[in-house]
Amino acid sequence: MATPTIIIGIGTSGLYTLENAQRFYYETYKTNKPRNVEFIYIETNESNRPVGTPIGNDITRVYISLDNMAEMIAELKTSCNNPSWVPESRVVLAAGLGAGGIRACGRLAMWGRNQKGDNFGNVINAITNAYAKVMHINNNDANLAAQPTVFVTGSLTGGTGAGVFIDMGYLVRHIIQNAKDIYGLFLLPQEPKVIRGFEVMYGNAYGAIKDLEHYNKVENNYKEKWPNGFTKDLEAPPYELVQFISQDYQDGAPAISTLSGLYKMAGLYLFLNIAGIYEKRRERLVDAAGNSLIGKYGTFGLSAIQFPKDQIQELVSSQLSIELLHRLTESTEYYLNGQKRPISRASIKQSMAVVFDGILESAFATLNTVEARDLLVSIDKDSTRINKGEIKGSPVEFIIGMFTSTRNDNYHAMVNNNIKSALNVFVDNIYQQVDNAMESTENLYYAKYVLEDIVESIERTLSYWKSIGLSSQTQNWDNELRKLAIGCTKSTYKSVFEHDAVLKDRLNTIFELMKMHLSIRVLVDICKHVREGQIKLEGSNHELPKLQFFDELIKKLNALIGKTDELENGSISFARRLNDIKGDINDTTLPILRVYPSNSFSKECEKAKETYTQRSGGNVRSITEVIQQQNILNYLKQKQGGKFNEEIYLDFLKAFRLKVDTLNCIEDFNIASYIRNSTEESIRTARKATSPFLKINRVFTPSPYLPRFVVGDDTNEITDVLTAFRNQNYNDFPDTIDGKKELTDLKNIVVFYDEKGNFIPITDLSYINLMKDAYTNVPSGLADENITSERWKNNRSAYTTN
Amino acid sequence: MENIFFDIGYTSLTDLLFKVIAFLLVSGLLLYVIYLALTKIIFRKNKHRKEINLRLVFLWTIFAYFILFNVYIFVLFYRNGIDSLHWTNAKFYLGIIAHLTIYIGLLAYFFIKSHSLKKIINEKSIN
Repeated sequence: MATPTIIIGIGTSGLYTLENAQRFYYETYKTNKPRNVEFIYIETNESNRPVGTPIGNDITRVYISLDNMAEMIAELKTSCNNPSWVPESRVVLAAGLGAGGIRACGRLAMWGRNQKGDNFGNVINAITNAYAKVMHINNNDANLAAQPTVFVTGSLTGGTGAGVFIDMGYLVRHIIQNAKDIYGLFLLPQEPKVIRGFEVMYGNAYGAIKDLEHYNKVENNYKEKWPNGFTKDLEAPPYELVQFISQDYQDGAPAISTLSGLYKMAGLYLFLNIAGIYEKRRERLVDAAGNSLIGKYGTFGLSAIQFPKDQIQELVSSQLSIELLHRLTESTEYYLNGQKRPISRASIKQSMAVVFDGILESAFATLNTVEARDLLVSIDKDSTRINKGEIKGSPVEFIIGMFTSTRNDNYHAMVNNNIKSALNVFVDNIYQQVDNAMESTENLYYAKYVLEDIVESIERTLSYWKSIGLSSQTQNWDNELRKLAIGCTKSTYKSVFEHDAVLKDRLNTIFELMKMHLSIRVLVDICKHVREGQIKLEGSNHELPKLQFFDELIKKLNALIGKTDELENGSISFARRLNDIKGDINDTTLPILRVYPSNSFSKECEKAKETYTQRSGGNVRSITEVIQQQNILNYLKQKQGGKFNEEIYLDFLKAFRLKVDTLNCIEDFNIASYIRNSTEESIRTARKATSPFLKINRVFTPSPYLPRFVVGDDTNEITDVLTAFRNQNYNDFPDTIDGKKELTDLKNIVVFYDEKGNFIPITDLSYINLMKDAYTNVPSGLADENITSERWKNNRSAYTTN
Repeated sequence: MENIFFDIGYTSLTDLLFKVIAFLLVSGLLLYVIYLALTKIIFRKNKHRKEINLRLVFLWTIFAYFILFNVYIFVLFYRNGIDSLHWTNAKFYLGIIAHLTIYIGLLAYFFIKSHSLKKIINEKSIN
């Protein structure tokens, strides 16, 4: 019977652990989590955000802001009976990003309230909502247990995790009063080679362990008045069981080389729990607790033999995504109907000159009509009136009056008031050209050249207009107008009876020149918008694109696909992900043995890519297909307004993963059969699980009451594996019902799990004395010379447990 | 009248002046008639500016008149016979001075008008 579960990550480490758990779940089940599970992540660092799987993210982020800490402190002192743990304002103001490694700051962040919100209330709401969600599922599913289980995870080295982890346990107890179990999974720093420079980390961890030990004793109550008005005086410890893990192996094997490896192991542990091992563990743990074999602290060892199908799929999908995105930023070639063609700048220039002439004609045509009045017809009538002498004053003055800038009831005023419609035509048509170029070539350089060459045509036109004496200055126009009006009255061609046609034509010419004069400002603005991005111009539907827009897109996409190295810190990129995948695969310090039918990761990737090409008919996918028929320009613009790298990365990766998956490019690999053929190597991997991720000065003797089992997709296969082990005289994992766990969807991996307990970290951790030193003594040579021994210790403490 | 248009001999200065004036008047009249007719016939659907079309029509008018004038010169020489054309005699030139005036004048007028049309359609001109 599955259990409704809430997993709460605290701080950045908590987030990374949740991301790994989510990822493992996605790799196995193609969804981010089961419906009976909720992920919550609580963070003081505003810039940290969860990275999802190819189908998105299901980790709910709760940001607890540390803005206006002085005011938060003042308010807490008033509303919570002046708690003695609350730090001094001058201490917290120097904290820096997040909780700044000061435990009390982390705690303050959770308790406080500022203009960004009520942090304590937000945390309570997030847990309450998660609880309601898992229980709602629970109420509609008879196969789910009635009481939820909560896991809290994070590291105890920073300010946030080490600050709030005890409050969090009690808060969960307060919100979910029928919780079956509340477990902690906390990451500790590894055994230090040198402690210099890492004193805050080790000092915080020691302070946290000390505080936890304090509340784990029955005689010590948790007494606080919370900001929500509740006064708590609790005897129970915050967690039923707290598991500690670090990068170390107890048996002294080389430590996991990176922190991300540790997050992966923590994530794998949480994933296995939500996938189904939790119930099996709990059966054993209840027995172990009854026999005093587990206590309040635990740790575990974990190892696996895996065919990394998902990593291969992701690597191939990433490479295919890079190839497709590369087409967008290719500066010399583009694709048309699947064929590669060179980008000919000269031909773009030539065609854009013609295109702009057309745009200019359309824009000027819109100025011929004002409020349903056809100005050309009106000018015709005026020319006839002039020739018939039906006007007052001289013809020259009459003509000047028709087009002068000094009146507000003439053609000049009407066209000037209507100039926005010409602007709309310019912007809409230019946008259309760029959009068409983008859609047909799927190349940003091509679209950029189209825009650039249209602007060049505009500039050439403006320069020509200038050369014939036109400008946007009204005074200049009026001077030119006078000359033109005088010209109208000379050589009238009356002798050949063409005077009406000639005057009409001359007035139309003046009208066109006037449109040019009035359009100069608009066209100059368009050039400024496109080239310099100083102003913003919008047509009837779209904002005119800017060259800068394309340059930025090209720069970002190049960074995303690893063509350049200009990636913002923390941003996701295909190149970075490829490196991560390769790094993960090649990391021999992880207790995961990667196995392949061809004995090589790169060969498997090549094979998968070949299969993809074969099964997709050798066709290159179009970007439109990947972005699901959206308009490319709109799509990129929309992404630029959001988290560009992450969103594009996920969209492309998701599309290609789906395709690679649909085409079944990577076959599953029977791990049990591999183990049977390579038993010795497999035993070495299985043995790693019996050494927990923590250096404890205690010999853990195997106990049948503690969980130790093998997880695979088929019980019979697991039995075969254990038989093969037994045949080689390896008997750490018993071939009993308790020693096997079948998770039918868990393909391509066999996991060995071994849980340990019954130790006290404050005394049994092998490097606890070094940690205590870091906690007690101020390190020399700190940047802040004002840090006293007392202040140092206060920064490493967050609970009044002395 | 026949003497004015088909006699190439020189008689007196008065007759000569009369002949030149008569040629100019007739040429002007013919040019006007041809021009009027052509303005109603050619370039009606041309999208160029009306004034440019009319100037172009005028050039065609001069050209058309020039053809007609050449036909007339041929008839004139044919009727007077080859023996009456004394190319080395100065008096002969006095007799055809009216014809020469029109001939040279037409050519000069054509080039003057074509030059002014070029000026109008020059890209640097606002007109």
